[in-house]
Amino acid sequence: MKESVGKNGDKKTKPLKAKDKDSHLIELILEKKDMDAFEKLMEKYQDRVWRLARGITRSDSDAEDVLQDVFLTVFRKLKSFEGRSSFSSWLYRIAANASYMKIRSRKGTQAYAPEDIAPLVDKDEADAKSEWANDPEEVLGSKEAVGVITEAIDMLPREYRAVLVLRDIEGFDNKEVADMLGLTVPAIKSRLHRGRIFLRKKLNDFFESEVKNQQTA
Amino acid sequence: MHCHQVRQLLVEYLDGELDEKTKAELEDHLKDCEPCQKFISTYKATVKITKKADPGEMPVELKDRLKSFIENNLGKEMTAD
Repeated sequence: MKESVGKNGDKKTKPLKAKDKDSHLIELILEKKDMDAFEKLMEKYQDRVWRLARGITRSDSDAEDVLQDVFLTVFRKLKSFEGRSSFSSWLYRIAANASYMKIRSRKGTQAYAPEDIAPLVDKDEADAKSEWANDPEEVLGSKEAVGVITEAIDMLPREYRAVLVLRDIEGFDNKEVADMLGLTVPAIKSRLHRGRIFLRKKLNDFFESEVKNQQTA
Repeated sequence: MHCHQVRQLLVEYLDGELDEKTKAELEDHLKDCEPCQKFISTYKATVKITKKADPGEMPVELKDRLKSFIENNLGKEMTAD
């Protein structure tokens, strides 16, 4: 808690804001080598970092590796954190970068390369027959539809997947995502659009097959 | 504005980043273009469904493993510094 002096000269105790709380913990870590303070900082952000890593890597074990790498990196580089951005932005940048590096270093081929999905996306952009958007909420948000999206995200080229997860699931804005991945904002918008079109195509296929199934039943 | 241009501007349109003139042109096109109306509604629905595909909460056992990892690896570094 911080103390301040009120109009009447009495001391008031103000609750620390989130940013001040982080700064306070960082001071304790750097100046007093306070391990409890580091654990508090980690506990505060571990869920978000895990979600971000799991979303981008699509693998529990890779996300766990990323999480460990991220907190090691944060611990070792904390001295160089200058506070020009918030601690959380700095941390998420490290986490997104580590997740992205993890999937780039993976052996084996990915489901689709960007050049493979380009024609698919261009073709789908021209296709506007589908009317499933008017389906009831329980159909759009059904387990099956979400399952289709989850599978489609797994199939996305990693370059598109990282952007789509950070923007549409984790809710960061274009500038934040661009900073995290070291890309330009126009590149983020382009990848996001292509990723969404790919997902839309998979949903189209799913809902169209559902309609056919109902007609034949 | 043509259909292809409309579809290329959807990210900015949904983020509210288009300038007034471009936005008006796009919305003008939308009024009379049923395929684009359908396209945009399925595009928006896709974004909405995607939000539901989040990985959920971090597993508790992973939190425990991370805590041990930090204590075992960083505790030593902290005192060695």
